[in-house]
Amino acid sequence: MNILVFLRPILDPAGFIVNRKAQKVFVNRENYILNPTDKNALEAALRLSDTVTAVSIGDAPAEDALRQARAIGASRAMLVRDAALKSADASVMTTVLQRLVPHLDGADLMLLGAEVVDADLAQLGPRLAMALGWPFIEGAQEIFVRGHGVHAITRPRASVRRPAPAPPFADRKKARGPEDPALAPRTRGGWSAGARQTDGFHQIEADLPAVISVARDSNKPRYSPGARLVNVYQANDVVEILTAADLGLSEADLAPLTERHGESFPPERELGKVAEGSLDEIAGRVMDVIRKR
Amino acid sequence: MDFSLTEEQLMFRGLFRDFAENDVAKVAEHSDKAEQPPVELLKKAAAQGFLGATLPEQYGGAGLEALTNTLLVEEIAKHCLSTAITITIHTALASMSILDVGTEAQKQSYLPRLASGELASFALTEPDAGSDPGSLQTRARRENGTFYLDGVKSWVANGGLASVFVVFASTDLSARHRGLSAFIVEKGSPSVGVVVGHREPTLGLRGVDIRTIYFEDGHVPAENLLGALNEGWPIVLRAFNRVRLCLAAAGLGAAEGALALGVKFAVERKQFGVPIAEKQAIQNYIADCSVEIEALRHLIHYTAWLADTGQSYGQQASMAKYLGARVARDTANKMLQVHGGYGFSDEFPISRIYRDVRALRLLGGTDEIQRYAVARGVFDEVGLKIQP
Amino acid sequence: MDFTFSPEHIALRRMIHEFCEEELRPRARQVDRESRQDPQVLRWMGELGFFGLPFSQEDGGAGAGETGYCILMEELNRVCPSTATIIGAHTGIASMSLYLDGSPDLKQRYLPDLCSGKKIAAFGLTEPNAGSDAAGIQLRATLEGDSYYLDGQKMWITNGPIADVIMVLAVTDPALGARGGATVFVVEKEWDGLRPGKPEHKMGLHGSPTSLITFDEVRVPKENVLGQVGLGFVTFMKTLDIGRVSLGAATLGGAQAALEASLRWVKARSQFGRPIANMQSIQFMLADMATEIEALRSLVYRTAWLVDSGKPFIKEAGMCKLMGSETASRCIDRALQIHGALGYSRDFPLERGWRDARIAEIFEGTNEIQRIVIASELLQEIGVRIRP
Repeated sequence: MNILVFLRPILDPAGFIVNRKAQKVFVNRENYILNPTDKNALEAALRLSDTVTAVSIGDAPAEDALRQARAIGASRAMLVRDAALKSADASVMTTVLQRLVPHLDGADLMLLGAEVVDADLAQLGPRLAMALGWPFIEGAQEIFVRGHGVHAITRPRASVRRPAPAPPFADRKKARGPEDPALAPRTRGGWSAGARQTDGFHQIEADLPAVISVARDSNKPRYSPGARLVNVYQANDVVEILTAADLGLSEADLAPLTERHGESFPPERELGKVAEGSLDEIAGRVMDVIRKR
Repeated sequence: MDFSLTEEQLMFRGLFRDFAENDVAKVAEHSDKAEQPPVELLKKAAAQGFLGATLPEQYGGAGLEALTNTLLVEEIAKHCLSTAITITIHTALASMSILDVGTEAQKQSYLPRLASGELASFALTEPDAGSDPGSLQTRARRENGTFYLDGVKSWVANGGLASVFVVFASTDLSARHRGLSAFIVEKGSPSVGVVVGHREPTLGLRGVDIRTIYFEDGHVPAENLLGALNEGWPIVLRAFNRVRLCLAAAGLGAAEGALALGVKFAVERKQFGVPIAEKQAIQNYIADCSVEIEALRHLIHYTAWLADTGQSYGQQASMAKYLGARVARDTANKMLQVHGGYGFSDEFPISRIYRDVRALRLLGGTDEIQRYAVARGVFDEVGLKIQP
Repeated sequence: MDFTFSPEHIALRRMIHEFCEEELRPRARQVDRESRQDPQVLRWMGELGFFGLPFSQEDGGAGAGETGYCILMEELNRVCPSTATIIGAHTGIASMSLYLDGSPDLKQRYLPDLCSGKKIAAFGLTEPNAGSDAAGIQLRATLEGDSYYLDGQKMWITNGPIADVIMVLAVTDPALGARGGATVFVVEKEWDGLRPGKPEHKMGLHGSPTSLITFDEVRVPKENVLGQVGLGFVTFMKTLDIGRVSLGAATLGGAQAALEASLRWVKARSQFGRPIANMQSIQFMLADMATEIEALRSLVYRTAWLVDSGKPFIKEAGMCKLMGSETASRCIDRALQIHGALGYSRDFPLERGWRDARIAEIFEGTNEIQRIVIASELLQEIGVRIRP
């Protein structure tokens, strides 16, 4: 089975100092690391298949991330490098990847990390799935492949909408699936009958090919064995490189949708107030606060 | 100048040496391995008057001079630094402070007990007040006839063995070290609010019982205020002078003990067909250590003489303590090297001495504090007051 | 002159650093307390190629060379010296002797398992009467038919209690003595008459098991002769020479850990109203540490480059070990001093590093021997031959 893993290098947060007063982030040590959750994605891929292609967009840091992936066990690595991709946002990356996937010899699964430590908007997964017309599963803890389908256990993030509450008993029709339209069966990509809830986890099934984002810390990423690492870093041709033109993309295709206007810090979190007094007095104070909201 | 010890001092030294060789030497290894203070040995020491060595005879002490006392500490330290430290903290810091500023009633009440076997402890250091005791946070407030102490004291040597503590608390936080007062605290029942915490596991000096002490509304009767209110700091300074002289003597003893072991090993161990004592490298180590030990001994005796003749001796005490810690460290280190692989083994005593002496550069004022004190004394003489 | 590491060495360091931080650091305290490293962790390191890192890939190693191996030893010793010592003895000297002088057949029989960590090796040179005087060994190997019979004792053998395979230097021709009449044998632990002793109790490196090994007429087939009969001493001395480079790298890691811990602490700890990083004494200690470490780093990696380039390196290797062990001891001692009392407490890792570091000035050739080696090389360059 062919699995693609999308990797992102990020600046190591351990090299930053945040100065709230000056509203500035100082980079003490500029050091690129592989986004930690992408390592979980790569590990998940390697557990499912021997043919794993690591993919990235960018320049030297991205190329090094791909070498790391080869050293860890990916059988192939592909970098899309182009000056036009300097300020690529999620929409641009989607455009690139959408062209890249058919360029490679058929992929059954595309994995990526569910969180990026820096500007985490978690858009890439859903955008990519829509662009490819594939189903999207978010935050997979474990992934099982069964025939033409994939089965994932996920833990939804707090912001995910839950299914609407069941109607009163008399009105309930025979259960066919959840009422939540977001989980309704799709005509393309073939989702099966939505989510079954188990102990705060969801079990989700989808047809392949699919895009799955892998949850942080959902597995223990393997280390690269010494000999393999030495060989990968001594060789010159371990990462294949494509330009935007190789994918038939023009500069116009790569214009980002987002524009960066500046930085600001969230306001200081105010610690709550400690309520003192008798139980009745405390309960009264809490009710006052709730009523005011 | 007469550099010889008096007849009496020689006699006492013989007494100390017998005790050290026959009794102290036997418990040293065990108290380190089992991490147990040598309680039986301390009782024997008390019986011989060693726990009240410098206390006047009217309070049950032996009335020894400072110099003779350094001989006691030195002889014991040759065999067991833990024992030497236990006794030094008990006497030089704690019981001598009561002698220093205590009322007659306090002296009558406590000194005979402390001379005859009960142990004392000195609680100054706190988790956030190490080299900077002026920033200590333990507070004492007075309500009618009782003081209430609140705070935490750390690194209290003899903490688990002592029945009497000399405790320093702030009676005026804003005045920093000028707001310190000293209290005599007895270890009573838990309701008295003094809780002795767990033992501190240490690299060396494993025969010393070191604890954290918690004061939660610790009751101290008003008559147990030691010295005048807010006048604790001078007590601390005089205690530091006394203990620094003793710690120097402890370093000297430990160094001498280590040197003796190294010399013995060098004579017995043969490599390349000869005793390693015949190798210049080894000879150089022995020579360097001997020189340092000799110099240290004389500085200690001079400092003790200053103390015994009522002269100011704080500067020399800091110098002696600083030098003593370094000489002990260098000698133990070089003699461990002489032992080769055996120096790293627990079966030979040299590695214990090496671990034990490491503490000397920290307790009683770190090396950095001693250097600061000495520099301050030097600049003081030319009219400049320096700050830490 | 290009001072950058090659891409594979940079990547190796990153991978090893991460492994050490994630897997070894959390276990280091337990390794010291229980006096053992988890065999599962050793197996894991074996799978990642740590045990055969410097050896060629054809022989079953990772092909990282001496430079790669130095990086491994530096990173390991920075976090867990006990674990670093297990590998240091196994790879750096035991397996290395086989790699340097073993016949293709002997290498093929043992090296793959040694490289994967499936079998652990030990280096059997030292004896009760032969420490620095390695030529004074007495263990006999007598030829009878197709086998040698080994009889005698080896002492202070790192990995002794856990080794599957021991490289043993034995006297095959007493008339020629060790220098001209000794041979290296590869001995397997199950063979009759081989008895590893109980693990030694040492001041530090508790997780690195060391013991006496007794050879009671152990039968060794002549196919297990490593190198040439009679030239074993040369093989072992050659091995020790190269072993010194990576030992220097290991000590570099220990010194580096001390500096890193000190930097964290001086930012966090305040006394006298400000972080102690503001104290000039502290700043100078940090500067001295960093300078010595930088110098050692250059020395170690330049020497590793000499090895990997096939250039002579004996003098520089001795310097790596000498300067490295002394630098590490100094830096770790400074770090302990900077941490004050916490440095002396067993609740914090400083004292463990301090105990672990001391042996580096003694094993694999005492620093006295290193000075002899360096002086010997220097004088040889001007035509003067010396004997220890």
